[in-house]
Amino acid sequence: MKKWDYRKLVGFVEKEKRIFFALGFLVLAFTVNYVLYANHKKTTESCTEGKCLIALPEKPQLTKESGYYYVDDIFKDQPSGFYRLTFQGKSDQAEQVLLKLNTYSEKENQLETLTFEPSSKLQKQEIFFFLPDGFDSLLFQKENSNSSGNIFIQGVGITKLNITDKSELALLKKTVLGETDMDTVKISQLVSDYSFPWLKENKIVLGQIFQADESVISAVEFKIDINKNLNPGSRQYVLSLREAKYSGDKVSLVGPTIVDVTFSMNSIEKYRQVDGSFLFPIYATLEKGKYYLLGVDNSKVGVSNQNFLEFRGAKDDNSYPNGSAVMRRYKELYKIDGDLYFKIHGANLLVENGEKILNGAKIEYLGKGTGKYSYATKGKFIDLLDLETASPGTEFSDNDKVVYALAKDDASFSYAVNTLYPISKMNFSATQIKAGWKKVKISYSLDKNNWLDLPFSEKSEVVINPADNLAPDQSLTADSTDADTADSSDAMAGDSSADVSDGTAEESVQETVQTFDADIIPTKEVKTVYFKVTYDPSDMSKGKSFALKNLKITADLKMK
Amino acid sequence: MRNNLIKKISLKMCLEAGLLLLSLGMGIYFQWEIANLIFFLLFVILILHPIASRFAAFGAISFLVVTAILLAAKQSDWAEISAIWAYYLMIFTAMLSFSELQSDENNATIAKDK
Repeated sequence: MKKWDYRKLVGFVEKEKRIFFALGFLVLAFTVNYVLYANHKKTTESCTEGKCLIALPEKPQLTKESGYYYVDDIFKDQPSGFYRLTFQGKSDQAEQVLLKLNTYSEKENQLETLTFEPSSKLQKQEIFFFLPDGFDSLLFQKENSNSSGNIFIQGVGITKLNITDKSELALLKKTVLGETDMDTVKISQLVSDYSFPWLKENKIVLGQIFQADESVISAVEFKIDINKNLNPGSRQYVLSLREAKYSGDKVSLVGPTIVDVTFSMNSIEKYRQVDGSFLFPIYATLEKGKYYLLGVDNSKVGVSNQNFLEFRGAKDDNSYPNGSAVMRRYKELYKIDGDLYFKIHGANLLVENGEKILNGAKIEYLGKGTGKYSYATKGKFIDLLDLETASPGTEFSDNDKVVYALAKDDASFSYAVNTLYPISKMNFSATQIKAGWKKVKISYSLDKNNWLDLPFSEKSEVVINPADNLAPDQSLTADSTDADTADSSDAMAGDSSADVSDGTAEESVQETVQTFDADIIPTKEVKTVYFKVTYDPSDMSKGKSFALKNLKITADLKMK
Repeated sequence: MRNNLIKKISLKMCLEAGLLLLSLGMGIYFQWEIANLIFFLLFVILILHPIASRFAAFGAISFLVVTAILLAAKQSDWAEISAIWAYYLMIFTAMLSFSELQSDENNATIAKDK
């Protein structure tokens, strides 16, 4: 038997150390890949109960730890008299809350005891009270400070009433508060036991054909599993809505994209819901009975077997009878077996006396036959739902927090402001979003036939943008960021001059910004005023979009 | 002696082939893209059989130039890929340069000893 000569082995290792170095490198590469990259999959199931939420849940105002909630200085400089207090509240269990007037010197005056029943939805509350002199704050206090209920209180506001005697309180009409119901789901396919893996291939559109049963879509819900390695990049998937022709086996698209939402593998998490699904805000008006495609396009994303989205759904083709899952590959759109899991959310504005009330609009009776209407945009996606009409391409910008539209052709969007009672005077105020965007033209009508332009004033705005520190809109591109689709070139348009010094370019922009603040006094009895927002076609600046910020409408009403 | 040489060469070749197969297996297991797998195999081959670092450096510079051209042509997707390949080749260059330095030092030591 041959003796094992370890010196030979040592000699071989010394001579061929490159082989062992390469082996070490392979072991290292395997370990790094295995630990950091493999099996990183977030499924809908692993994200239930809010486990994957990145947004912090809203905090309750009253808890076991904190039984006092002060609304400071709400009565500061307010005269003594009768007031209406409005707010919205909810609690996760039955609770009693003491409502008190308060001062910094801790003087208190209890108004009443509020009862909260367990509810997941905010409930409107309205309380009338007399405000004596000397109080400046309002206090919500848990009656039982040891109770474990969490109470949410939002939108606290007061209005001075036009009454002098307590007996007049009984004659007050209830306040109308516009609320948009976005929970209506009429079209859905809720089976999600199958995964559609097609988005791991390059340049694929995977989507679902559905038949419209509502006139408005405000959001769509999907269940998506995320296969994501350490650095999936920031390139954008595009979720778009398009009209389609569908007849069982044949699918084709009609017209351009109606609306789209872009997101990257990282930013998709902001749409995550508590149950692990994703809710994408996507607003458009639909025609009942027509077919539409909601599809996700991965053309701009560098997908791989490690980085891709898996849509959940049903393999059974009959799970949703009025449509089908579809796929586009090599520019050809075709039907595939099964249906994606989806829920189409509609949006219903509050209807009072047959009239739609804008979301957040408040119609209050002040007494003695007078009332007040107030509405303001909230800088949230829900502002889109207040539009009466909107030309294609009207969207909400997450960056600028405004509704905007592309300034082309006859683009416009409009509001129908219903006050329910005759208007004695209405005030409209708003500001052009920022220098460099297209100038805005606002007209109003009392009958939708005769339109009058609203006057505006202008003030000059100078913005100096260092090239490496551009405004958010400018520095973003669709490929590299999670930018909304708001026109990024707008902020740089206008009379601009580049100044290069010390190696850094500065772009100074001088532009006027429009401010609208106009009163409308109808000469006849009118309850509805229409406002149309469009761009000024005579504005030759390079701006590509137009938008308004701080839109506010108030009105004095005759409520006899 | 001739038999011994053949035996040695065979063992070395077998080990090298085994390493390349292992690399290929890793690429399949982790489902790497083809381009990434090719660069990984190239990296392992260059560890086993180093070449002059100037070749890798030339490749890196070429890809950087291509990146600039693609960016100018607004082909940002291809430009990104080209930039990544340039980056890989720069890593190769650095690795090969270290290897060359090491060889130079060894040669200098041997010459000194003589």
